[in-house]
Amino acid sequence: MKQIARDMLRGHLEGMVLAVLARGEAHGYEVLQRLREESENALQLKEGSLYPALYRLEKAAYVKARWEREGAKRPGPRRRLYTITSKGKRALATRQEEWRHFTRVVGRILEAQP
Amino acid sequence: MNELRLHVERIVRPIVASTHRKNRMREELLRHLTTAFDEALEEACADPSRRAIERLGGPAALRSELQETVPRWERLLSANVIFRPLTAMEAAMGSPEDDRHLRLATRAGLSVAALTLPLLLLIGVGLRIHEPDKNTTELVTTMLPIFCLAAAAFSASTYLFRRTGAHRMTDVSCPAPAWVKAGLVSAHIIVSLSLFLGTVGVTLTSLAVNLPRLTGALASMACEPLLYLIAPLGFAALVYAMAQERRQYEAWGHLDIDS
Repeated sequence: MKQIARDMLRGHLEGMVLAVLARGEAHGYEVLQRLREESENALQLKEGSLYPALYRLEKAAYVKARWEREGAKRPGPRRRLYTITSKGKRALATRQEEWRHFTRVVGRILEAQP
Repeated sequence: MNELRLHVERIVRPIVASTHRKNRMREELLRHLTTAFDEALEEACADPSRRAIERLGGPAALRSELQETVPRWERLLSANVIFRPLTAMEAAMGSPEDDRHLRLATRAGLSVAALTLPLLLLIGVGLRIHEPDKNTTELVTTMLPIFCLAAAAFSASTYLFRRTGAHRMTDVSCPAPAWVKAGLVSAHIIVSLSLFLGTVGVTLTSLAVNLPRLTGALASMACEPLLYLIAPLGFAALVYAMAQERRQYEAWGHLDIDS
């Protein structure tokens, strides 16, 4: 699949992360894997940018985070698991609505026959 | 693996944030890198570390993005506003590396005195405004010797801390637990500051005897819980914060991010 440039993703990453987390709790790397799978590897993204996005979402109380349980501990550093909150779900619904409106309007203009 | 830790440290160390937040960033980014490293290894990549690092992105861009997620108040509190002027002042006086204990202790006393003198002057001005009839010479002759004595007390405490070799126990190479090291440093700070503030406090009390009875009573009411309740709590909080700081330093501080 044709890749989407990083610039085009700007401003949409947080919404996409919320959408991915709406399908279930995940840690940072897993969020990236889901994004990759669902985009069929079309998303070009520096992986580090995911963490500032997750921290911004957490600050806005759209997601909550916890360290994985001791029982699940594997060697090395722990994983931090993220869950979408009800406030995050409402924010996601708003973003989805805005996105549908945006694609409807822009699509109508871009696809208009000359 | 050390290469991955170094990359994480290059990103996180310059960020102005609390130790707690920075440790969280370190652990999370390192976890990400190790997972990417394992994935690259499974794919038989020739240089899995390099691949994992490239995927994560350059330190400068990521650092500035992470810095923006730190609340403003936390940036202000973590900017080390108390110790930075002291460190700058000590640096201006020359390297303390070769100093003998007494010289170092004298420098410590002078540094603290120089830092607190503006505060004392402010108090003096306040007293002058509050009690315009009071003689300025009397104010200066009472405050100045006691202030010098306080600075000397701070120096004495620093001298003892070094002379007894307690400072060596706080070294990274010492195997003592982080909380023991933090306890020692905190005790030194608390004892030094108590001596200093106590002596300055005596000055102020002696000057404030002419204040109205209600003000005196209020001041005494405010001071007692401060001594008996807040001081031990403050000590515990200081030990906790410093132990965290030490653990973080011992785990990550030895990495040379400029290499």
